Amino acid sequence: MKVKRVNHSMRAKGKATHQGISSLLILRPLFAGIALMLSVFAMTAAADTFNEYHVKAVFLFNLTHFITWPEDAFADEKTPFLIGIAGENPFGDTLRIVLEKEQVNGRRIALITYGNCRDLLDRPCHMLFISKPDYFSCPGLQNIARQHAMVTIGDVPGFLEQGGIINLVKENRRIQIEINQVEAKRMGLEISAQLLNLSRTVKIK
Amino acid sequence: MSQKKSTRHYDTRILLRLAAAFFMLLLLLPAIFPSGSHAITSSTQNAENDEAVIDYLKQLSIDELLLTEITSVSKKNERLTDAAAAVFVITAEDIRRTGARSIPELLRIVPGLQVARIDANKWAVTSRGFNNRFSNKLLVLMDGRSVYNPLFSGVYWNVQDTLLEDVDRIEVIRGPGAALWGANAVNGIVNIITKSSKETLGGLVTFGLGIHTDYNLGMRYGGTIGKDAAYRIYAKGFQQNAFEDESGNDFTDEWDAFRGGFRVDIGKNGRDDFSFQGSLYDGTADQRITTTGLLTPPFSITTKDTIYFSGGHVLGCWRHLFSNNSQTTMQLYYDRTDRKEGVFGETRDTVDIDFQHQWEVTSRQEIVWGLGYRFSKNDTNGTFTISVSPDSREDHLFSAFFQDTIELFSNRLWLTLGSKFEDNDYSGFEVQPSARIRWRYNPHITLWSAISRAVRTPSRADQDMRVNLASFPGNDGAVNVMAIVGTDDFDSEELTAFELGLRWHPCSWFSADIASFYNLYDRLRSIEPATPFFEALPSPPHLVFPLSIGNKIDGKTYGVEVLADLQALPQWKLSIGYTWFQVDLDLNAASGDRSALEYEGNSPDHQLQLRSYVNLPFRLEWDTMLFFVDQLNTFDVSEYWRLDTRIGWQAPHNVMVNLHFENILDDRHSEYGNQSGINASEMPRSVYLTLSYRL
Repeated sequence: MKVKRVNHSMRAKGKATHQGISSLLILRPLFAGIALMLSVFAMTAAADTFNEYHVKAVFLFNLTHFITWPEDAFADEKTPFLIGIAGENPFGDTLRIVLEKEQVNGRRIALITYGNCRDLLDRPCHMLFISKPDYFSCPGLQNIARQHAMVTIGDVPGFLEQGGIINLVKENRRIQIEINQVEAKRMGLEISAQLLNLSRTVKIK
Repeated sequence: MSQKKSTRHYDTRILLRLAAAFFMLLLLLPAIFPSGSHAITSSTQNAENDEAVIDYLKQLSIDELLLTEITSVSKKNERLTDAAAAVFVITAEDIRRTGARSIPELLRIVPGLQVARIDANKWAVTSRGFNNRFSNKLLVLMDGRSVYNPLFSGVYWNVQDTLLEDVDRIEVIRGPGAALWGANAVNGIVNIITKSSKETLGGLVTFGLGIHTDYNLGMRYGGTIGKDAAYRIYAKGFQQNAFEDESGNDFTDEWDAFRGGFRVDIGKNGRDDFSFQGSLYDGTADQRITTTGLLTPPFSITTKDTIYFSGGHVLGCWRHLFSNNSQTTMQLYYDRTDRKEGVFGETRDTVDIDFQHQWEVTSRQEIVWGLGYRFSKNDTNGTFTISVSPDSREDHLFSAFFQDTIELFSNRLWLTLGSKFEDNDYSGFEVQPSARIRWRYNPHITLWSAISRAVRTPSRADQDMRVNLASFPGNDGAVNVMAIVGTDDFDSEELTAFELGLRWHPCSWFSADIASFYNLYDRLRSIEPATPFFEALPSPPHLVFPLSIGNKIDGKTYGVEVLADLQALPQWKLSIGYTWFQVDLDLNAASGDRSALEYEGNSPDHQLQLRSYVNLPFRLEWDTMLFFVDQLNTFDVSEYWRLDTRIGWQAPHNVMVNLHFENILDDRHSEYGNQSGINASEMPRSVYLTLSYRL
């Protein structure tokens, strides 16, 4: 499994002054190889499919059309519709581009990125995307979600079992929607029949 | 044993051939594996501009959206907890709530790791045994930069630091990760990842002080440059007081450091992301050191000594998305570290270049492969006690890795095969393969298992170093010196590891993670008595009894690590961790070593931890940690309990106040013993207050 190759005493004696040059010579094929490969990829790997998070960002926005929030979820008519991202933002700039100049029921949309749980508890939103629930453990999240009719959206298997409302799961290269209808109803959310027909209802408890 | 080759040139030729062979092999891969099917045909899909793609997607109905095919670079989205390995992630929340002020103190909360504080500025940290100040089987990376010192093979924990508020997470993998990360990732990897500067906009000032801390000041400012770039600059300085000896006297192990740095992240449309960072640091760490092997009475002296350390790094990383299922990363860094203490000094320059390609071949197969080269040059300043010959050396490390993850049954069973190939200047060519399997039994239960081979490659300390352990007057009046002497014959230590784990997530408020391992080690480092010889210089002439470094210890370690998280109440999170660790080493028949026992007794058999995070009204947080660590037989260190608690208050106007009590249960306790001339101090009870202000 192993070839022992080193002649240590030689190296010790030599402490060669030309080693610096030889190291550059060794580097040359490495760089050449990398350059070659980069060009190969550039040719072969063309963008043929849609980026998962482009599609998910559009889904997120579309979902707002199919859900009716209870009246008391908004302080007044001017209250913006708040969409939050908890933890790491997998969308990059995409979600901002999707939501640009859009409205939900005549309300302008504001995007919030929550760095920590405290901010979220202090300033809940109407729709919360949690990409990695494990990284964003937030005691009291479920309570606050119920109080404020906050629709929690995830994209990992088992998200609904963990208390989420909507899960965008990847299946056979497509996105499927899973909805925890019982919990949604409990929160006073109305989800349109059209969306329910297109999605899988998952019964929890 | 190998035959000695005649010239250095020959080495170079072999390396070239190896490199060429890898390139050829890797270039062939795309031809071997068919590329994924691309179902959607639309003129917009090839558009360079994301906005056009998004506009296209937005005019689709929800039915159409559901039929849209997507791809993703799964590495990007893969949850680390889905890996077929024993993984623990320290989150930014943990960093805040544990109140830890240094990276090794944070690592205490990871089940399966063993963290022992040697003195106020030194730690012994390891995963799965062999704990030592130079734990040579744990690889530590900061944003992809290795901070493992190849001279002693280990990590100088008192040098590795950053503004902890800017750390995004620390990923800890116990067990071998050599197939991906390379040599010395034998028993674990600690991967410290800082936030993107897009996530650290605005200003932050933190100020802390306490019984054992004169001050700890941190500052950061982050802003944007145009639409697509963000930056941050930071500075941190602290002065920490000494710990205590067993009677409570000052141990003279003060520690101070200043560091500053920057990070710039540039990303446009998610196609190309660039990240640049750099840092400079300078500090001193005092220690009580026993200088041994002196030629005149009293032959060894214990004195206060100061380590002067300084250094810095620059790193650039370029991530490019060729398509949604193909992504490459190129990373280049330069690191300099300079360190000088009474008996030894070292300056090291490292240049490292890494290339990685992640490729989702089909929706059920992902390939990751990469190439790397590292050049490292060090200059040492030895003394009679510790010397390295030759005092300067240049090393080259070539590496390539390949990993293929296949989804055998849809959403049920995954198989990961991979290997790293390395060529280093000490032990030559090394192959480190692994096979991992993950079975999602149901949405609540995941089982995983792995078999891996990993090596700990020789360091200069094993091959080029001499350490005079002790000296004493001989029978004939001449001084006798006992010395550990490195030899070129020392070869890599080898591990074959068997792992089995279970993750159980039965409901939203409870989860458990159990990992077990059985590690078989071959050719571990031993110290073998060799033929005595006379040495005329330095005078007086003396007789040297060498202990030459060999590979004559075999053995096994095994253990179980359990972590359970419980959301007891919406405001109350509890974590319970338990680690059981056993080690059983055997000397070869041919060995005359007496030190094997030392390895057996430097890691605790049992470790227990309990963490509680409570959210109280009035924006208060109350967090408590309790640790139990079993005795260490090697040093006669008794078992200890440690209790820490913290009260945090999110005050108005973006001010955060933290009051942290450390080691409440006893006046002081010892966590490690004297080793390699370093005298251990005891960790006292302490109180610490921080104020932070975000603007």
